Amino acid sequence: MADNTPTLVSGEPQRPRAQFVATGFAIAAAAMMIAGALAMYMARRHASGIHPGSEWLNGLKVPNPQFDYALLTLYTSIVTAHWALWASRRRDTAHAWTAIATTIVLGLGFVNMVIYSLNRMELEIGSGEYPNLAFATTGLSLALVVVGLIYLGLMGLRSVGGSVGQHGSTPLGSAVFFWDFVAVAWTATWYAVYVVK
Amino acid sequence: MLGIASRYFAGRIAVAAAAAIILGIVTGLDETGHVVMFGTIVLGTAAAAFALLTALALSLGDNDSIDRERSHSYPATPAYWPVMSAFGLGLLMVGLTTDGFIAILGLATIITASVEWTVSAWADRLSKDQVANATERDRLIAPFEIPLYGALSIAIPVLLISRVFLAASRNNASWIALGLSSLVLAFAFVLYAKPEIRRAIVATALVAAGAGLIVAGITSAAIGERDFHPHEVHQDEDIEHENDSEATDYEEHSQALNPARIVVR
Amino acid sequence: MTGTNTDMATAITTSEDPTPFGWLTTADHKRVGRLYIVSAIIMLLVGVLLDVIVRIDLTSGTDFVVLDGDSFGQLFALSRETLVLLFLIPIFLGFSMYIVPLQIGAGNLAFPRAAAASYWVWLVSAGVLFGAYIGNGGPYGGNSDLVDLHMLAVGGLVVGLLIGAVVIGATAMTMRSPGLYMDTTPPYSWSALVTASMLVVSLPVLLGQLVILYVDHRYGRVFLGGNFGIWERIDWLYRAPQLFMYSVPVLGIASEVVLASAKRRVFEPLAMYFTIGLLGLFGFGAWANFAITNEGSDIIDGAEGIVLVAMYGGALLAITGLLALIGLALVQTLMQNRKVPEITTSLLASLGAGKFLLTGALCGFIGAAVDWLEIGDRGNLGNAQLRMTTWVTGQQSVMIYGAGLLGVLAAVHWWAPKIWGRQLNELLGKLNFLVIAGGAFLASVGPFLSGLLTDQPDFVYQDPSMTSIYSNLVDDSGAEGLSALGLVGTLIVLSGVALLLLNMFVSITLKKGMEATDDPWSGQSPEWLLSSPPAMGQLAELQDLSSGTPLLDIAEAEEAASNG
Repeated sequence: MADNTPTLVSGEPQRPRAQFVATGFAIAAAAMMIAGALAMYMARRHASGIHPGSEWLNGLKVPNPQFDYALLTLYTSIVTAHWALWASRRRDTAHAWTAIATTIVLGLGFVNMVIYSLNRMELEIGSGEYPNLAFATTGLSLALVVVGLIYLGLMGLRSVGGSVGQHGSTPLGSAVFFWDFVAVAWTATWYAVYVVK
Repeated sequence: MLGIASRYFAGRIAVAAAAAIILGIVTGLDETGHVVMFGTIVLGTAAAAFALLTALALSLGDNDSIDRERSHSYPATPAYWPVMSAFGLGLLMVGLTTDGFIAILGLATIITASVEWTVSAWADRLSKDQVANATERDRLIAPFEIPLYGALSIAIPVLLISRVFLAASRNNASWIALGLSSLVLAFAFVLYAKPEIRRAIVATALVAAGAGLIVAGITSAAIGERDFHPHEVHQDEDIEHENDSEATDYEEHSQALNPARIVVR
Repeated sequence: MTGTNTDMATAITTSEDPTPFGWLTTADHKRVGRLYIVSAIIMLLVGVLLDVIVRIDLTSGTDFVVLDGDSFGQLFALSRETLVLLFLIPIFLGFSMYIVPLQIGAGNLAFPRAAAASYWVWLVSAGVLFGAYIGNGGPYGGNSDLVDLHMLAVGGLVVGLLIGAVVIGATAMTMRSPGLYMDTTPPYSWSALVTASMLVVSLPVLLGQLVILYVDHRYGRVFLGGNFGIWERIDWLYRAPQLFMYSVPVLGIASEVVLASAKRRVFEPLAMYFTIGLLGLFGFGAWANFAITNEGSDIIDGAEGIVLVAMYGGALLAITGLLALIGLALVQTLMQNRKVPEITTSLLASLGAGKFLLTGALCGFIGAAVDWLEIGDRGNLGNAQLRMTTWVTGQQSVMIYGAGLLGVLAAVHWWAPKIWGRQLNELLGKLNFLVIAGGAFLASVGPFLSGLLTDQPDFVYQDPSMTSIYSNLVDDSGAEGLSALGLVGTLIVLSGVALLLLNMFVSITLKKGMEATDDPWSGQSPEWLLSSPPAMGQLAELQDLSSGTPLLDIAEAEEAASNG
């Protein structure tokens, strides 16, 4: 007798998630680290007087255009990072690697711009409370940016090694996820330290 | 249906957000509550972090197991990279408070370990044949590893031994050199005479020697170089002094050969 | 029901190096777990010894006994750091690394090399920490560079523990056997996930603080006031309510042991998971503590008081709820079988740890309520609030020596067969329980009473020597006697730790302990399906699990078959 049992179409193969989840945990940790630093900054700022005014900055002038350009560069790098991921998922390796390289270059450009802006401010570490706090919080955020760049670079290497496609792009996807967070972290730092001041 | 992890993380969002809002309101009203702002920012961020974990838990669902199977089919192979990273971090910590060069060394160690680690992780996933994976890994990274580690394995002992020699006095340095070379000779002789000696004993001896060298080198570097007394040579009297010294040397040499000879000036 | 995945039966085993050098390169979660456990127990010995030295100096309110003004502050800080960062957190991390993959049917952790890195980073940072203190660093230290090095070392310790927490969290969420839902995970694995996620969200705040403190201390000391401002900003990590977060695994262990001893399922599993999770949540009240930034009033009042009281009250409810649930299982067994379950060291220690945890929450609740409501004029007219007194020290002792150490005793005795293949001596174990419980009781009751009755200060941040020479601050010299009581208790705890190490050494290292069967306790959770200990390297066979209590399922099915 013929077997009339219908054959079900097999579902989509599962995507590996462990690295993505671990990156999510790492992002939660990094967010809390930035929160701890910024919270301490705000508490010290508040404790220096209800209206810190120029005494808090002690004559320092924040180069807003330079910081704005740096922020825009960072946001642009998010676009290129997602482009890299999109291309990697479609196995378009040429575009994926181009986009990864572009993201890294933009990230380095961002770091360069922030350091230039700090130099322009003539921020002298040890000269006051605001300079010390600004250095510490900015340095922490920049360290996160550098870690994000290294993560992107290493996962880019994995991509070169063949981790592409819908399911193979998890490593690169995790790195891009972290890069998104890095942009959020920098935005919070920039706002607290250089806009609210 | 929400699994318990999702529900738990979601509940924590609510609690953290509520606490942040309460503390934020209190901060606005209470002039002495400066410190509470710390709590507001941190708890608010915690609520966001819990939201992220909730989203992760929801996206995973409760039945995912691809990672379990992958981990079992492509197991991670043992490697020195974790220890190397930890060592690099230790160097970085010490270097940040002492010498910038040590910090850079630490950073370089961490980055090297990270690259090696990434390549190992890539190689582990190539196939289920661990031997073939190792071969592929070596093919890719050995051209970098061999010259780098080879150079380091020469440079680091040389650097450490040089610190020991520079810290010791002139005579002691000679004795140390004599002692060290005798030890090496004796060890080589033992290896030759007893080829059946256990590998573990040899490895332990080498590790102990390496550790001793590192400790001695670092201690000597901390102590610093001994005082050197360079000769002062004046230009006008150079030739005269040279002639004098040559004459003196000649005289000394002559006297040594002919002790009875008396030189009268 | 369980099954063995026959496809996975032919899976590869990793090439773990069997020589001692293999410990340096291991990617086996079992080896990393063992490294953490043994190292943490050794650090416990050091930490308790340091606490003894500190407490000796507290027995005289007028003179220094052992230390001097400068070193008292340093040793106080080091003892707290050792007990929490080098014992309490890592030991449960080690148990989680070993046990969680076995309980969820995974062959290994999600990132085994990262787990190994976690251990080595932790160990290296511990070495740097001790080196910094030895060189006159640390809070209140005289060597400025080594004060900075101390902060970096604490940061390194936190990074190492965070890496471990991330690995545990990712493992628990992504590596479970298909069919094993989170609602049916064994309670210890659930408590490990809760602890890991709480650590991930709370410890990094310290990192952010340390960066700012490091920069300010190294460059100009603009707002810290030398290095005297460091400790008061970071010691929230070593006090209640943060300590509740680290004690969540104790509830997981207690649930495992008690339910297995009762040979029953828990009455309401979701309630069990809920109450375990709830305890972790209440560690979050640490940031309502004024001293974190020292920018505000040192008096609890207003909403801050409400938050603290609510938080401790919630912790109290959670612990009470869980103990009631698992206690109910024991009572049901007693009533049904008309006999007491086998009294093992693990059962005694689990119940003891639960009681101490309850005491810690109760004392926290009382302290917060007294301070908030200004009972006894506390917080008014210059009277110290309880949170400024050795009431807090008592709470620390309850949590660390009582709940934490007894929880470790329970875990070591329970899982030693699975980890090392040997059972620890039960007679020594029960003696050990009595010693530790008695010592923890005395170590905490002395400071509790001293804080309540004499206002003896817990720690004077701006002048640590005043903590030791407290005669100007307290009304009653009874503080000296009560401090001596605390010292006696700590000495007893020290002997308890030594006894535990002795038991482990004799039973495991010297192999005098009874060789363990696969399931010596008639356990319920999946790890008891495996050999004792499981082979080094990857598991050759992966367990397919659909329940967190497979052994209980099998026993119930057999009973049903024999009855029907």
